[in-house]
Amino acid sequence: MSAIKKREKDGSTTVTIDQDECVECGVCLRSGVCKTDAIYWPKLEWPRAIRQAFSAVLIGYNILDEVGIHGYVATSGEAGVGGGRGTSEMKTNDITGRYGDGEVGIGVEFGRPCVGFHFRDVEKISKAMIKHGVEFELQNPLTMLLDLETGEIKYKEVRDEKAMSAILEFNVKQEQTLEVIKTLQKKAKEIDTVITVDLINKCKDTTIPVLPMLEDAGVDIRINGKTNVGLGRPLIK
Amino acid sequence: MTHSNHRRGSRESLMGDWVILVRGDTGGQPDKMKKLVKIFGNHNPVGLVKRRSLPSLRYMKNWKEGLGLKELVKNPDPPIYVAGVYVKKEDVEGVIHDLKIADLGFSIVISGVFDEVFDICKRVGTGPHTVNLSMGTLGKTEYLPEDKILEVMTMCGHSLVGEPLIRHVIDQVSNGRMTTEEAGLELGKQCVCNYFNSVRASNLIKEYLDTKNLKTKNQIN
Repeated sequence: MSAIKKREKDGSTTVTIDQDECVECGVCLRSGVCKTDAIYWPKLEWPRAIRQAFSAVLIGYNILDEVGIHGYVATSGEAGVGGGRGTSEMKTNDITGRYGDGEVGIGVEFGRPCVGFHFRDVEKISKAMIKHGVEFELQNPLTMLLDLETGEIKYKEVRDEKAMSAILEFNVKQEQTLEVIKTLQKKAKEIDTVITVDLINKCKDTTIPVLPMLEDAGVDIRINGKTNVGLGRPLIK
Repeated sequence: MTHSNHRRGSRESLMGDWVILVRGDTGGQPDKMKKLVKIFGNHNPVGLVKRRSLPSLRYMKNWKEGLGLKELVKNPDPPIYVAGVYVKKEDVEGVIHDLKIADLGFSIVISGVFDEVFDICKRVGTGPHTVNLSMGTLGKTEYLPEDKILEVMTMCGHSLVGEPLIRHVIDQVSNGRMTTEEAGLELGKQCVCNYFNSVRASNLIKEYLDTKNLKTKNQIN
């Protein structure tokens, strides 16, 4: 994030935290990097507190409830101990069946890796995705901030806040995948950050059904990622 | 959460970087979760974490401030979340093999090179059920550092291991104030989910210094 600025003057060093750049992740405090214990974490007020909710892993999203933004339901594994940026997505698909045959789950990870993002950048992508007729995952904390009909950020006061990362999650039909990817590639040029993109697909035997289509279209797919190995019970086939 | 989905690196480097994760809320009973933790611990993890409430119980190989592996495995609290980090394919296969036999019913996810993971599935006789593919990074990629730094950085998918800290520990190593192993552990401390592979980080830092013709503390001594 590079929020910590060091200044040398007259033989002494002053270190400050740039409050515009700071995403309230808590790493500087936790690392013990300040030998004089000058770093402390004040109680954050809305809307700045949203930085902490989307940056300090395991802190959780209580702030959203506190300001009356209700709806995020942490999955039970995370309840009471904070949560990640998104949902269980494909990690439990062998027992939830959230991603079925012929579907592709898409995750757009804003600000990752390590760049951070402003919420106004989310809107540029979410509005474009709404035009494809997608429905955002309701259990994702980012979804709570969005108008589900327009894709706009409902809470204008958070648009200029900066956080570490947030994930836009939605499903598309497999045949829609390439057109959605094209839109993502186009809109990515309009944002002042990075997005890292996930494509989730249920396997058929030992093949990944969406892969040939992506390869034919020249979409670059990395050699590694996550595989749910189907040991959950009862198993959804 | 997709925080182990976008780990960067060559095939050779990624062959030393595996994460196995489980959501305990998918399988239920605490006694099963204890069995699972034992299986994870039996196959040489270089990182292991379990969590029921905060703080998480964490192990990293050679990390003196954290828990020892045996201590973590023996801890009686049944977790709802477990993840192990491994550096060898055969250890990952060992975990999946034992989990298949134990039939605990939890959803199990491996983060690693796909064709190697599929090979493990074939040999063990399970899945694959669902994949999460990484399309890489779009947008202002000029904000990203060079590949070797990025390879270290992306081992914490929540971005808690940042570029300035990575450069700081590299500087410490090149000045003889830290070993590469200590540097890897220092970075790993920040990754509260404990997915960070401190062993691989140590190797990557050494490679980085080699490319810059800088010496490590080990070489200086």
